[in-house]
Amino acid sequence: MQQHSEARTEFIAGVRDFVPLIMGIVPFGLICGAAALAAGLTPWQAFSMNWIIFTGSAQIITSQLYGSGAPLLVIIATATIMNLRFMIYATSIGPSLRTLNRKWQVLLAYMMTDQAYALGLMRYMEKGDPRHRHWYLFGISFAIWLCWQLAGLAGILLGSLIPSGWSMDFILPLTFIAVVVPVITRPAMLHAALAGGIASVALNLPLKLNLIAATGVGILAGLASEKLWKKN
Amino acid sequence: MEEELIAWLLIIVIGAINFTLRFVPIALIARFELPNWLKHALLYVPPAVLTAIITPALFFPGGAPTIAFDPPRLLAATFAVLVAWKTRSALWTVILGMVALWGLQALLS
Repeated sequence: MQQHSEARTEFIAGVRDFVPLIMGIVPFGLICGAAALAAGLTPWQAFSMNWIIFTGSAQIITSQLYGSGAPLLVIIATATIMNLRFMIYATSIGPSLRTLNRKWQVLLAYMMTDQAYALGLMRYMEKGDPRHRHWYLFGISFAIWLCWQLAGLAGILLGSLIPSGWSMDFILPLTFIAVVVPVITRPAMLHAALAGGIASVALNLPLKLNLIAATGVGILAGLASEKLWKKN
Repeated sequence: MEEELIAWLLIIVIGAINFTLRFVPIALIARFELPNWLKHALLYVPPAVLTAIITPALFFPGGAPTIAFDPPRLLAATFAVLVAWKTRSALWTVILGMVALWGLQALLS
């Protein structure tokens, strides 16, 4: 009984920490759903994307590139680069999930998001008994997952109703601005960001390879900046 | 029909890669250690890739290669960067960014 109630407390704490994230997730989910339809995917495909890919940024890029007729391999490579950050997350939270069985690991890996990772890791670093903390991670991950599915569905159903005069596509860069600004904690990060941004408009590459090339330029700029100014 | 199959293939392949990236490091954590240089390089993926997505959306609203200089978008985006920096809140960044865009569009057009 004691075990059950501890697990439940953790789960509820996770769901509670999800609440302030709602207003960031819902508009993004709406746009993802609407963008998939606009790119020419069927409603059923747009919906499946939400739970098969389950990463807003990769979904949007996939939709955009598919809609603009980019070659398959370029779309896949670009989406993979967008998702590489999950490898960092998984490597850093992995030791905390080591004692869980495979089913739990599969479930938590599948539901991993930027927000659930950040908050889940913080929870694991708190003092006290960590034995039930995967329930916290599950609580916040599941709440985000459900919210994402519902928002995406609403975007698929309502997306075509939003008048284009409202410039709602601008929410996409705004969402990414909100994600990228807190990441920039030191000069080398800033240099990577600036170089990536400049390269993405300056390079005029065929096959929509801009994004991949610009990311490479950004990474090199970050590494170079670190080398040149040791203190970064 | 073929178009539809290609889209399905795309969704499933990207989904599988995405899951692999999240799961393999957790599953193999005892044996799995990224080489240091790679870990280091991966740190710069988020800032590089995110700005590489944002910037074209500001300069090519109609799609590349036509640069459309659009002052309301650029100013609203700059304002949103300040909001994100001050508040660290996605909600306020999106709300104030959109309000700024609508206001600037009304003023400047």
